[in-house]
Amino acid sequence: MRKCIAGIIVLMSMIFTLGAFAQGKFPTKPIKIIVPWNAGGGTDAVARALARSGEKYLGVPVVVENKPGGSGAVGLAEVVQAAPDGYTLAILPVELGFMDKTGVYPFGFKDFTPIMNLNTDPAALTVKSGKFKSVADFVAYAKANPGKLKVGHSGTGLLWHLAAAVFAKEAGISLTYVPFDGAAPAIAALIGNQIDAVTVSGAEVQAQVKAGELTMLACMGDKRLANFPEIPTLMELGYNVNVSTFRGIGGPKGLPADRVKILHDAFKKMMEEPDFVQTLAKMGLGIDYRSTADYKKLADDTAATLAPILTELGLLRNK
Amino acid sequence: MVVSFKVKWLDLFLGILSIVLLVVVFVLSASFPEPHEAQLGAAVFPRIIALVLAVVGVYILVRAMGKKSNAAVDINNAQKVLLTFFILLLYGLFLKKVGFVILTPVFIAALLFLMRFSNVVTNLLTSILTTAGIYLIFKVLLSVPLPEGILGF
Amino acid sequence: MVQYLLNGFGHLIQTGSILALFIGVFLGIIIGALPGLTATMGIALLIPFTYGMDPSYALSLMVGIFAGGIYGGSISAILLKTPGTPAAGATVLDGYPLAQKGQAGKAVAVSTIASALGGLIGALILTFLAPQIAKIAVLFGPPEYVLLGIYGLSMISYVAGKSMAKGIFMGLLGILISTIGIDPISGFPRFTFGQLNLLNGLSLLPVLIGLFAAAQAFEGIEKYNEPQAQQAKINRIGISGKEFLRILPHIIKSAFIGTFVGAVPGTGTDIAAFLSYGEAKRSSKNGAEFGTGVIEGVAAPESGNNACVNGAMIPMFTLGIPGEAATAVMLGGLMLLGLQPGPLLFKDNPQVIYTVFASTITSNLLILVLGLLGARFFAKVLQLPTKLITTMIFVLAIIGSYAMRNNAFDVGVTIIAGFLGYILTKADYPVPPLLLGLILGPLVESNLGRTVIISEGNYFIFFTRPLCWLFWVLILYTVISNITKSKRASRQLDQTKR
Repeated sequence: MRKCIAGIIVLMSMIFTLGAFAQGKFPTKPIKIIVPWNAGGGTDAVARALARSGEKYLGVPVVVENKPGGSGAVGLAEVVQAAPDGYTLAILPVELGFMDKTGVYPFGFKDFTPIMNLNTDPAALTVKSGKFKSVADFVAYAKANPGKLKVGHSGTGLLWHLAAAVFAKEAGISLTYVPFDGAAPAIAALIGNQIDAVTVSGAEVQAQVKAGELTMLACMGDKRLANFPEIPTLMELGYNVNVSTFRGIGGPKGLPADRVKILHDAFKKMMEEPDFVQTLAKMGLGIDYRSTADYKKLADDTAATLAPILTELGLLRNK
Repeated sequence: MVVSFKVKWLDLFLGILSIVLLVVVFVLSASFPEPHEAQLGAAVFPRIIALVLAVVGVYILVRAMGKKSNAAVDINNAQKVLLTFFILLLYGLFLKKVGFVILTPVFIAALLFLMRFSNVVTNLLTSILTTAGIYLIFKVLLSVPLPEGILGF
Repeated sequence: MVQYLLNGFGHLIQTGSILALFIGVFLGIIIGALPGLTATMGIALLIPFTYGMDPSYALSLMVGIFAGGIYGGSISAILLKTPGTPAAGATVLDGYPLAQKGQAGKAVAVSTIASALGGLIGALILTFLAPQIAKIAVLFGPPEYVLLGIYGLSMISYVAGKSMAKGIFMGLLGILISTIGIDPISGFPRFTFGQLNLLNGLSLLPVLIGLFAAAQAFEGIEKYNEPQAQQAKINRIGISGKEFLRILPHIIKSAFIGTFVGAVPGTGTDIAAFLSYGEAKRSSKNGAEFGTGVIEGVAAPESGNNACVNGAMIPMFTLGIPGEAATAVMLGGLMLLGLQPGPLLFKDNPQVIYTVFASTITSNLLILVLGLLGARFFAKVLQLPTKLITTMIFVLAIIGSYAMRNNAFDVGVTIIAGFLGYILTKADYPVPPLLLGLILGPLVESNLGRTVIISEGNYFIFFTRPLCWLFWVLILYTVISNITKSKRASRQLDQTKR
């Protein structure tokens, strides 16, 4: 029965696809972008800001659908299973690069067709004001007291956890990692002196840093943060650490190249809309356009950087 | 039709279930990763809870068996209750594929007929109007997505 | 400060934001009353529309939806045993029996008054004491959360019903179910059987709707051919002065509990409501009658959850950290409006902050007006034929659990939870403890894990922190007063038997 229905669906979608090919026209119906998180979050804001100008550049409406659950897995699974016709896309999280290896996602980047990158946000090493003056201070203390410094992050096996570990490895220090349920409770714990540092994104701590409650020691990207030009990157300080989260857009595996190009060209223009630019600026998110090839490279590089860290943290669970 | 069973049989069943759960939790958690030093580990908490649950479950079981109690669970109109359960399952199963607009009137009408609500016309009219009302509030007023199904809206 | 607040009220009226607030509260009540649509979702639905709006206008809408939504959940909880939001889970316990006694109008009135008053107290604390409360809230570390969770679990003894052993059994079952999904500390997926929908565990809302609403509707099917209970004629909306004095102390106490629970990040309106209910039952003279439809049992959770709404805004505005889910969405909305919530907002934009404070205070008055005006109409729902109500509950339960995250899996959870809840309730296995376990299990487990990490495995940390001691005293006091009470009750029972 199920197979039968699936067969009909496949057949119907093939007919649709063939029909569209015959006309050589794409897109002819609304495009759906699945956001695998709740409405109201950062990823949701990015998707919605992008979708607003969809009709202008693609000729069809672009609708955002929230499909949260399973740390993003539920929504992403729907895209993996969707027909590769370009009408079902998703905002792809950085975690696709490694959460298959930690046994959480049953799929990885290889199961998607990347289209382009939209945004990157580097991690930042942030401490309670007055405790440490500089990264050197922090590292010196950690060397003298191995394992004593407690670093909060937004969840085990998520990017900010790995960011802390990449830094610790590069600096030759031993830290204790404290997972929280998201960045906000970790920041609250830092303000309350329950932990010594957090390695969440610069955007997530900017309010507290600007108010002087917290001090950002360094950011972990390849360039300084636009909102904090006075704060150095770890690279500048001599640590080879470059960890950023990125949000890109992609579809199911096997998306035809001509459609990828049509979507890429339209989305690129949509990213330049002042509305999109302003929205991301307000959320403190960094716009970072990367072409299909560059986006793929970014994903591959990140996965390669993080693979040894996963082993080190004992998180490698699949193969 | 009235289906009736003694509460103590349910107590017995849940007591045994708690022991089964205990075994399941211990077997499955055996393959959980070993915790790092000074960590609780993924297995500890569920194991403790499953253990206490089994203790309480066995206590309830023993207490129920030791007592001469005739307390019973009666389900009147059991065939209708069961039928409703299956109608619900069918509704839930096909809601996404067939769609809210088609399936909901059928579902409502089925329940109304099951409960012998009113005559055919009233039942059908009620089911269609209720569906329209929910559609208006959820989809039109609040723009909450409802399962679209084969109609595409 | 008072000057700022007066300016805030002025601004609220001048800009017409008060109209937005009214619309917000009104929409919020509808959203809250519909199962599956929570206040959090209401705010998220709204954000795309606030784009380009005047900030004070948009903020008034959000505040209105939040407050209205948490209140609105109680209406369907009382009338249909269908908690519109998890926050109304505790309201079902006495609200629904009260309505079934033919006093639906009174139950809604009590809920309205308690929500408004509790919310008002919370709003006043938010306005005048936010920075001080925030300072205490951040002292809450993992050990304190563990003890808060255990304190909350001790409430199981208050909602266990006829058999304490069965109550504890259900509570433990709830905690065990809550361990399904990714382990908060090691990140390892547990008991998911490869099912992606289980990676974050069972969602609370579908279980809640199933256990209460769907179970109730099954009951309705079973009794379809029994005559319908008559609703008392509502001559007067509201409650007598005597009744008001009876619930007032509980409203005030619950408001403080709720505000504080809201102010500590990571705990929300559902926990606030259950803690308030438990404390009211413990301290009330007619605690034994709780669960049969007493007005204190409606007033306490409703005051607690609406106070929590305001409490949750304390860390958001003072620290830039959301107190719970709805404020997390609100925070995003604020940023899209070009406002950065946090300590600097007080300095840079006092006008906006105090307009929000004025909104929160006013929103509670609007709840009072709309709720009392509406009580008569709401209660009319129960004059519909029972068969129709039963059908409606089923449809709303299923659509609500689907709409929450567009997921058919959750529909299955609701149906199965409904059927099991229906059978278990018949055999005196109470469902509220299961909910408490589901809500508090993750709070206890994840923070226990964190405590072990930050203390480096030293469990004495639970006895070396002053705030922990406060909780120990609270837990011991609750347990002891519970034991002495039940002893007294059983003694009385013996005497009456003789």
